[in-house]
Amino acid sequence: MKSEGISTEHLGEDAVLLEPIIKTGPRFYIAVFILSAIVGWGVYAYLNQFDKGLGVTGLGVPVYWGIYITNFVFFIGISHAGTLISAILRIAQAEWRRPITRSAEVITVLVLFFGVGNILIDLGRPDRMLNVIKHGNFRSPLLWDVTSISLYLTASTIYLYIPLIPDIAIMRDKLTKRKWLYRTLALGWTGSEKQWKILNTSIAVMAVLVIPIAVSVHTVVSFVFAMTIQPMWHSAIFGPYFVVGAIFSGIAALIIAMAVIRWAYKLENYMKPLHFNYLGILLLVMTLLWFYFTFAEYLTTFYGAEPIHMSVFYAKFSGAYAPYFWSMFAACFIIPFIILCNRKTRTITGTVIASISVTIGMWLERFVIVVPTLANPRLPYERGIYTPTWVEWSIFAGCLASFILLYVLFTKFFPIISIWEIKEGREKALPEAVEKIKSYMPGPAKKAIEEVCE
Amino acid sequence: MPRWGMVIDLDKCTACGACVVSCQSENNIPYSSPEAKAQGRSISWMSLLPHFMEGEYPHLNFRVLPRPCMQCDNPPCIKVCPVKATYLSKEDGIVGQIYARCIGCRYCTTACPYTVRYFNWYTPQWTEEMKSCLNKDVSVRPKGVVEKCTFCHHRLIRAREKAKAEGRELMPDDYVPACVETCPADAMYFGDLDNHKSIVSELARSTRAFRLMEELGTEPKVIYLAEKR
Amino acid sequence: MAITRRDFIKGAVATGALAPTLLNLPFVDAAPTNEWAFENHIPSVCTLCPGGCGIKVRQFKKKAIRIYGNSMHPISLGGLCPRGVAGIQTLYNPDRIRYPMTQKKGSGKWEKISWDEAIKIVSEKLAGVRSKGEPHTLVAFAGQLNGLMRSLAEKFLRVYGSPNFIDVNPTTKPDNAIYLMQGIESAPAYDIAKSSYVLSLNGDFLDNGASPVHMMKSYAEMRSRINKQRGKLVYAGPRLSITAAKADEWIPIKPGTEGALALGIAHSILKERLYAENFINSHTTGFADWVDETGKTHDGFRTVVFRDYSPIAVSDITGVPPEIIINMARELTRLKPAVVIGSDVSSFNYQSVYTRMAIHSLNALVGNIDTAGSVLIPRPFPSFPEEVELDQTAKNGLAMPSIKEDIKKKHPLCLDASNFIPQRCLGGIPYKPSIILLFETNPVYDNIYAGEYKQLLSETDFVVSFSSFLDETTQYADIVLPNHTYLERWGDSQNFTNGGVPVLGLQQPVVTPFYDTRHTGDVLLEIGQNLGESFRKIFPDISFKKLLMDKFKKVFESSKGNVFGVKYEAAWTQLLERSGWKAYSHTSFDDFWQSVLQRGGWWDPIYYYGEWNRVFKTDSRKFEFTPLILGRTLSSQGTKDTELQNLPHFEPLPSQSSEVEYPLMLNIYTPLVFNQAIDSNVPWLQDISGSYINSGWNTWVEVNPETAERLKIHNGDRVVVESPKGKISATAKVFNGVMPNVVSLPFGMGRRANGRWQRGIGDNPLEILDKAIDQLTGETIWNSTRVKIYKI
Repeated sequence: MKSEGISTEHLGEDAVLLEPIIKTGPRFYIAVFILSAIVGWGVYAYLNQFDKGLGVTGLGVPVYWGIYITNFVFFIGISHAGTLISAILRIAQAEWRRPITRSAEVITVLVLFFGVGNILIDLGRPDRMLNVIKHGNFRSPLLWDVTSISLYLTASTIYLYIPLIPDIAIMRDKLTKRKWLYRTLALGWTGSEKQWKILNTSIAVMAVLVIPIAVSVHTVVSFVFAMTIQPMWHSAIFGPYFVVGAIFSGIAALIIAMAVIRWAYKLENYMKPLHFNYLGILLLVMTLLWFYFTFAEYLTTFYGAEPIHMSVFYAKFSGAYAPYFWSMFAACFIIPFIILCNRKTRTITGTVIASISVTIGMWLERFVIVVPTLANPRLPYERGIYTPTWVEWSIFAGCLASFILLYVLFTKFFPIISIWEIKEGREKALPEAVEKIKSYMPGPAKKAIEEVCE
Repeated sequence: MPRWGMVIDLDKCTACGACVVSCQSENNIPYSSPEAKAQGRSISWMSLLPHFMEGEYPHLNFRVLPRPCMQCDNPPCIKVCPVKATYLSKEDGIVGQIYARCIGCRYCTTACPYTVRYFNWYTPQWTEEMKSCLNKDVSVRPKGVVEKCTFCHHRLIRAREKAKAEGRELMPDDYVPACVETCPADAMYFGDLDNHKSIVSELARSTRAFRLMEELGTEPKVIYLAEKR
Repeated sequence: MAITRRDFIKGAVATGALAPTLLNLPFVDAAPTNEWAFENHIPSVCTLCPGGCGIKVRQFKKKAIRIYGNSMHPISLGGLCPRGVAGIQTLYNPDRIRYPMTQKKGSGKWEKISWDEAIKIVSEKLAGVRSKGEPHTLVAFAGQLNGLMRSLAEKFLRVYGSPNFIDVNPTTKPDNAIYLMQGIESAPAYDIAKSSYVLSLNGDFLDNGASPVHMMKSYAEMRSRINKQRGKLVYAGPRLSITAAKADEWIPIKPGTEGALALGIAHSILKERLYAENFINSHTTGFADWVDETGKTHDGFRTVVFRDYSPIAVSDITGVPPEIIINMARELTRLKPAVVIGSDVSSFNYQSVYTRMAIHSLNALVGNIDTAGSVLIPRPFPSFPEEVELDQTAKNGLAMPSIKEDIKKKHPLCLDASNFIPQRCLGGIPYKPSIILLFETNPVYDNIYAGEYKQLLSETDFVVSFSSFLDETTQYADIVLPNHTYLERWGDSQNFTNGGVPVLGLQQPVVTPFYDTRHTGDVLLEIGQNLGESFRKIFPDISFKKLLMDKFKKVFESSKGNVFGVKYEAAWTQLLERSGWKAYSHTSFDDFWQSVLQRGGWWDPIYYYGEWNRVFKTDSRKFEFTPLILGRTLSSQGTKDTELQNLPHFEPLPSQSSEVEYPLMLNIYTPLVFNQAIDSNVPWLQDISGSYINSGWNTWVEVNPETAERLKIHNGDRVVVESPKGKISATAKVFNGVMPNVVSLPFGMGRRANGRWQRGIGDNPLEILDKAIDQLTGETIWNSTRVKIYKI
């Protein structure tokens, strides 16, 4: 197709991947408008809090942490979507990863800001946040968080940016608008062999580096709780539990994001039911893994029957927080399991429903971890229910809206599916796969494959 | 170096609350309101806790416990502060709080197993008239910072300066927190735990002595003497 | 004008420095100031309850910063209760009345006037009534008045010509049992500190004794004796009060049956012959059967107890198992010295005269009268009777009957007539008051005839209040002449220790009064100047402070006692005085006065045990198990001469409602912070009002778990407490420390006025009480009301 000095013929059918950048329909503007309104409302709520103090929330003694910390863990959890999935799939050389990687990586980079953002929102004195650098105390798990998340953010950004370069080069060459931006960001990419080699090596290295960093991130987030001596926080499996939960919620978020992009930008050709099926299977595996960890955690507590732990346990199981706990269980295990274990229901719609359920469930899981322990301190207190106020909900909505808004804006500037990787897959995937199978398949299969390939 | 500790004799304590009110008077703690109380935002560094009611009616054992900051020797709270705004002073064993540095993350409040820490959810308010009775020796905290009992550390500073000005050593009776000073039932004692002969050391060695949640290993310097039954 | 680089930089720096202020950033903390100034520690007396604890106030730059106990004051001994500490919030309360004001009654719109105007208005009214020849229609309601202020007010009324100085819920009331059985018209002292066994029959002395601080100190001493037996405390009552919680044993007992329990214990003591025979033989009458002048034989104490109060019978009445009764008897006689305490006369634990007699007779039975660790009669203050010359108007006025006179005909032992005054006044019996003066009293809140008081005050022509706060009663005044708060005025407080020795505490201003208020004493003196020659002769133009100094001068000249000092000084004083020497080292009154100002007061630390002539002022000069006064009083009334009416015995509480409809008994009590409900309108106290039960700023009702389960009520539910008279709401607390079928409610909240920290918070249980009056004493029966509770 041709329009205004843009020649995308050579891209062939992949031209549709550049369409969102070239054209902007009314739906986009409506979406941006609504999201901006919500963001604006969230900002207003925060300014209210900044002015008056954290008293405008529903927090009080003994529940000192509530929705903001829940959001913090939740958003950091979702960040495991991107980089981890993308990196693992790259290392495993799973071909079906190609349309997924970029959308996953963008999630990670953007959502980390909201994870950290919620901590800053939760501070009583955000004007003093630089004290963390000036007077940092490395015995504190929060400092480990700062370090780890900074590292993760850096690594993820690099890991997003490097594979983006060839696509930026395409846009630099093909598009007229924002040429200055793309020229700067393309870093003089010419597509020479040397450059490709550097690119592929960097991507491979980052893919390997990013995985331990990502694991460390959510582990240290869990350490914020596990390093205290509070009942049902001071647990040895919190590290792996949180990492599993993070990957779990990450995959779910990724599925939702993919489904939305697919619908909005008509990418049915690129994101096929197969992708959702495979991601759905991963999600199923994580569901089971999540259930395993949860079961281990609660059974251990219950069996030990220590009174102070049991009061927290019963608060979750049958007490004030039971509705949250059981909703979480249904949303994280029962619904996804039913949908995903059956091939017939593991369709795109099915996986999306399961993912929405998982996302909500995982938010509830964070809530159920943070609040009941605080609400049942060791020494007797007036134990009230923590009821979040409009400020907290508004800020939460604002964060979600901001994240979606930024994501949408990204798709307007950069292709959300990696063009060069799709091309690479089309060109190189099949021969590589044949070579691979030939290398390990025994007997006269070699010939049979060659025949099939003709 | 002295290690200041407190002994509370539960046999004599009548849960009158004089310690609670004198702490609030001495330390410029903002007073509460029905709404604040309902939301769990009343600040009382020294609190009276209904600790337990056990036994079968009518042979009941009812304990109401005055609970200041335990001033642990192994505090869980100082480990987790990201900016070292709370610290264990080597000089006197008091767990201090630097209001000017605290960023209000409230990690220390969630880490403390005794729940002794409080947070300023709003800027503390007093009516104009009530500002007259603020203690000039104690800073008024801004909003968004954590505060807790400091064993009236400002009194220690005054006592040291007074002793210095008078050219003598600090005597044990020179420094006593407001709560201990006011207790009408003579149930509270204060002194240097490192001084073998001080009254708190002696009482700490009594068979009735116990600390709250000793098994957590926090080594609190507030020692309770159980009721004699 | 060209701006050079230098100017620019200077300007930038200046702006930068101003930036925080200009931008008004919320977090920039202002630069600290460091002003050194001297501070004072001034002794005074706390008058927030009748206890009279000595306090010291830390004063800095003319502001009172902190209140703590005066270590030299024999009552507080360095400690202070939370009310005392919270006194600075009373001083700096924003809802104080700041100037004299008047209103058109009932309008609620107060207008400020000047002191000159105010005094003129009141003087004119008073002079007017006097000139009409009706000085007896001036009525003064006196509540928390003590010491010199009280005697000044009394004198004022006498010189004016009014016999109507009426105590309305006064600070301390004498104990009827002591009056009847020992002939003494003062409250006794319970020497708990030296006791080995304290049996409290519904006596919450640790919760709200007069001077809870002093009680706690004595209790602490009793419990922590190093070389001697640790004292034992046993408490019998329907509720686990603090006193009960500190006791070694709590014995739940049906409300109103303490008298029976006491007599049951007496029965055991008599049966096992454990009573103090010597004491009974030498110092008591009425123990055995006796014959009166007409030759008639009357039952003695012993006969009645043996006949009616066996442990099984008592167990039926009280709900206490018989073996416990017998055990208490044995302990009471084995552990010496011991003391048996009933409820405080000003508390809500109503006990009838016969109950009090029964309790006090236990003390006599085991010889616990006037020995160390027992019941003591406080030694008197040096008294300075003065002759006052009255003019004819005054004499005429005083000759008229007082409003409370006839009450004694119907209620012969009435000491506090507050329950009858409004009805009599409204009915003009014997006459209607024309002017009412309100001194530190609030019957519209704390009297069950609040409605009648409201009506009386509304209908009376001229009502003057001297209150510092706009409380419920002051709202019905025509004019308010606000008094200084207790920290801003001169005064004194006459109290006695548990060891029975008199203490005269000095109250002095610790800050200069900062509102346009005046000392009521000075106001009365000034008004007196405008009331005629006789007044001016008796009240020369001087200040209350001078009167106070005069009083202390007379004390100085009495050569008794000494200024407060540390313990060894007290011992030295005792030694000297016993040997007949003058006890102190002050050579002149000025010296003495300076010492009093520095140390806080005067006391006479000697108590001589066994002064039988002083402690038994009955006709027989002995302890009377069968008070002869009682017999004479009742027979002069014409009541039927039953045997029992002269003896301690048990009478069940009168009930005005059915057990079926209202199955629970209502038990009201005052938590420490609302003791006497004076000036508890401070947030510090409201916050800790129910700390032992996780409550604050709220009225709660304590319900036994069995009862709660039956009524399907859970901890924290909002419930309605309903009696035939009305209903209030409260938060239910399921609490093991109350008997089944009894519910406890705290008193002190549910105010309709008195400032932002009291108005509209909680509920007032007095509103739903039966209007039940004790026949003999005219006091309110607080604990006979039946209620039902249900969820809202």
